[in-house]
Amino acid sequence: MKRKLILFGVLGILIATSLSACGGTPAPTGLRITDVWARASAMSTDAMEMGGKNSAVYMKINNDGAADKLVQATSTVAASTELHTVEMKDGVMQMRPVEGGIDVPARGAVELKPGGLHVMLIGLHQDLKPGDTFNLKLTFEKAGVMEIPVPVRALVQ
Amino acid sequence: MAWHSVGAMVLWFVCAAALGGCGAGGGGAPALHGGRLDPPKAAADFTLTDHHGNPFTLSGTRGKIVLLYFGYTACPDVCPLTMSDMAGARADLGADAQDVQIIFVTLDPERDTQAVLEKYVPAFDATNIGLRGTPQEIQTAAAAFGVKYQKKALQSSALGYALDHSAFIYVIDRRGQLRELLPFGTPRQAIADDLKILINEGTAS
Repeated sequence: MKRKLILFGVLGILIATSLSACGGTPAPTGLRITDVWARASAMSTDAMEMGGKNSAVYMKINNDGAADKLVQATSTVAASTELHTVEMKDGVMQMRPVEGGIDVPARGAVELKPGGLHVMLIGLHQDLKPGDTFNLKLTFEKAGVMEIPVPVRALVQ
Repeated sequence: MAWHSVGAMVLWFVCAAALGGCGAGGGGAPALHGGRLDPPKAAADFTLTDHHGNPFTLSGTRGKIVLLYFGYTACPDVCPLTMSDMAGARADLGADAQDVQIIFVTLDPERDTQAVLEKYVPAFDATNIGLRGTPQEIQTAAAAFGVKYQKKALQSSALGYALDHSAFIYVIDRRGQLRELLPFGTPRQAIADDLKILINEGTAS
């Protein structure tokens, strides 16, 4: 009898913890964005077609909370803002849009860095000059929208 | 077709890398960082059009060390990163920088007009040379170096299409010999170190 009680007790605790993990109340967002920068570009002239009018934003997304996902990025500096990644396949670099968003692991971090994941700015409306800052809106599946300032770094440091 | 020379180049690269790996433990003179061609092989020559609209022949750079790269300006990540590291390495050389010529060949002549190259290429280093040509001219030049590239339509992107491409830096010495292939991601410092080795070889030997 005593054993059964203990068993029920343990079961109860397990169910309670699993339910609370599934939410009801949203987990407090533990996202911190660090190491943010965009590459300079002086290519926004009207004479240009698509060539060169693009740039990339990099950052580290640190997460103290539950797993989340970066699903969208938007900005007013470019015609389109997309999530992209680069992979080496058979010695060839392939850039592709990220389908379904960028996973942000629980109590971990994901790094958007040169040669890998990045926010791509396509069709810049304005030059990105070193020292300038512009705003980027990031939409996360759980944490919602965060707006961050992005400093522009020179092409060559 | 081009795949024959690509295969040969890959074989060269693998052999060179393997040999280079064995030789590196020997001590003595500092070694180049990339996949070395041992013995070096004369760099294929080509003539394309530079970002001012003038004809440009690769063999006209004899006497300078050439960092040759094939890419496209719509590329936001891999290409500017490599261009930046090459320009940074050159800048780190001080007065010796005058012995080094960085050349960017577009694989995307459709979007990379002369006007685009004129703005893009010197933005990294004022002495840079940007080259373009007809798709056929570019294909011939790229194939001669074993560059693999392919246009890839991206339905879900405003970019329209990307260029999948191999991203080596081809390092050519003052005598026009292809000496090594530096893989993507080679640090600026390593590029600068290799340039110093080739600069110190002088024009003789």
